[in-house]
Amino acid sequence: MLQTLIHAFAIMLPQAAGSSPTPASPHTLTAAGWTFMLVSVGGVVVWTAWCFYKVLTAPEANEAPPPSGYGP
Amino acid sequence: MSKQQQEWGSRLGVILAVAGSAVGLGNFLRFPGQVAQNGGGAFMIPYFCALLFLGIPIGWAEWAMARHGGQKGFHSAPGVMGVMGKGAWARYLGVIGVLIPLAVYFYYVLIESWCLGYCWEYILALFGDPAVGMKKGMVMAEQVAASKEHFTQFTGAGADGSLFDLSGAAGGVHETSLVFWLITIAVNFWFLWRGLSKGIEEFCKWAMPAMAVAGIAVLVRVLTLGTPDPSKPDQSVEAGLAFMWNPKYEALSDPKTWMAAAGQIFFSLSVGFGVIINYATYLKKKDDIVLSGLTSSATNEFFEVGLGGLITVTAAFVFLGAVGTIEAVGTGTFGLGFKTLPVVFAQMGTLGNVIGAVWFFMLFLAAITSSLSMLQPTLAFFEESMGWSRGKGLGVLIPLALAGNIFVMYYSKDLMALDTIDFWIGTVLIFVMAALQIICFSWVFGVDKGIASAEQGAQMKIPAIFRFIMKYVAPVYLIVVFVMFCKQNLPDYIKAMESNPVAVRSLMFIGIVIVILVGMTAVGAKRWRAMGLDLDGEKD
Repeated sequence: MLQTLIHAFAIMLPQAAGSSPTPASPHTLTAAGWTFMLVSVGGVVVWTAWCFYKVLTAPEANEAPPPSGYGP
Repeated sequence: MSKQQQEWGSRLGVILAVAGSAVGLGNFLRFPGQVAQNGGGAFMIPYFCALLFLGIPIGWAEWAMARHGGQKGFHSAPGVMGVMGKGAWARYLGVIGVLIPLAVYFYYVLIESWCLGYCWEYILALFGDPAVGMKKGMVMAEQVAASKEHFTQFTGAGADGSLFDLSGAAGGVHETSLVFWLITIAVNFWFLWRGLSKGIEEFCKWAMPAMAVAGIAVLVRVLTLGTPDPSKPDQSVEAGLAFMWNPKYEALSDPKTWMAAAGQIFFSLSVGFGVIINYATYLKKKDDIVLSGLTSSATNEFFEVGLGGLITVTAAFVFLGAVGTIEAVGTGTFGLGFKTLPVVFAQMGTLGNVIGAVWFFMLFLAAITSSLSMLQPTLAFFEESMGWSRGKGLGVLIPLALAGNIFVMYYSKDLMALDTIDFWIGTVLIFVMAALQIICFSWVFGVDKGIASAEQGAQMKIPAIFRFIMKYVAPVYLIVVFVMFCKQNLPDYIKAMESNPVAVRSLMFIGIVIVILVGMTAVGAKRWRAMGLDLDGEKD
């Protein structure tokens, strides 16, 4: 079942990305290559920036530190 | 006994410390190799699936477990796991969470010292010295041979005990290697001695941005290389990016691709490594951990995908072409990082020495922010199990860590001790620890209670779907990947155990460490019970 799904997924993807089933020149970044690179790199950059924006603009908790089990 | 209470100075500090622990050589050297070998851009589909279904949920569980344990007075994996697993079985299995960072430290600090040593050699090369063994005027084939030979001498990979041969036979390379090892461990112990806030946190707060700046500087240089040799128009930056990112969809139907992606995410984020389960215990009850956990994961991904995904393979391709790059990627992390890239930098002329120095300094920062995180969990465990002060804990930890370093340095032939410990402790046991954590969190403690605990003080809610993911998807995903991993790798390593005495000795050494840690856990349990701590999580 899992194998079938993976096969189906693999067949569908090139069509979804609009790329030709025949491989392009190995020395040229294809449209799909650009897409994967930009979405991946852009995605993590935007995700990281959003996280740091949220962290840096939020107030810090003001309370005592947790207890210690080191000893009396 | 010490009453010294460790705590984080700021939320940003703990995020950068956790991210610093996660970002290491694997981000810059292992990830690009995995992408290139497993379907190019198509690899990112299973990669992001693993991030979503494995890395982020287990990470959140680890943060939540640690803070909950910390509120009960525990700051080590055995203490926290005892609470979350509600009993002695989990407490003793929690020893794995102390063993992993300590045993990985035995060899990781050596790799760190190689990075610092290489950085120094590139600085010297600016003043005319040969860069990592490569003299001026060498053709590329000679540079490849010289780079390999230099790495062998620098790491002692030629013969056991060769690093301690200080007769000058290797042209002073062994001496240089030992000096940088001493400098590296001194820096590590210094920051550890200064404590969580003034040591690790302060260091990570400048080291992480410095690493990002160094990485971006190298990235800019690599992306502006163009086509350095007009007689080889196929070896361009675009061709390098195409080699790395053009998707090969057929790889998606190969289970190995999915396993490689899960393995990369898993080891890259350092979940189950024993660090977050210590670091997050120092958080306060109302500190946010959902956004903090997400931010540390995002930071790791920035370095891995944003920098690692664009620099290493592209640079190698521009100068070595497709055949050379495929060969380099096949040599693994050390081959790509310490043998191939120096050859690539050599093609860049004098500027290559600057780029080499910046690159290895960045790797050194990536490594030291990780190695600092490896000793803190053990030190915290020594302090709370035995009731020792930080100074006394360090007094025991330093000789133990040095003994481990020297063991790995001595048995250096083919890096056998390093490889054995890396496989059994730094790989197999991480799977085990992460599986234990997610099972304790979702099934023993209860996923609803766990998520409610994680959301205390949180700036964002954990999406409802993660209740299902944490309880069912992540454990099953993890176990399937682990079984496939064992099936693929265990036979070779078991065979090595039969034929190589160093592999056996390495595991015996680790066995002694395990006995010490289990004994300390037993002593600690008695102390914690006498102190009235809820060590079995009965009050939850």
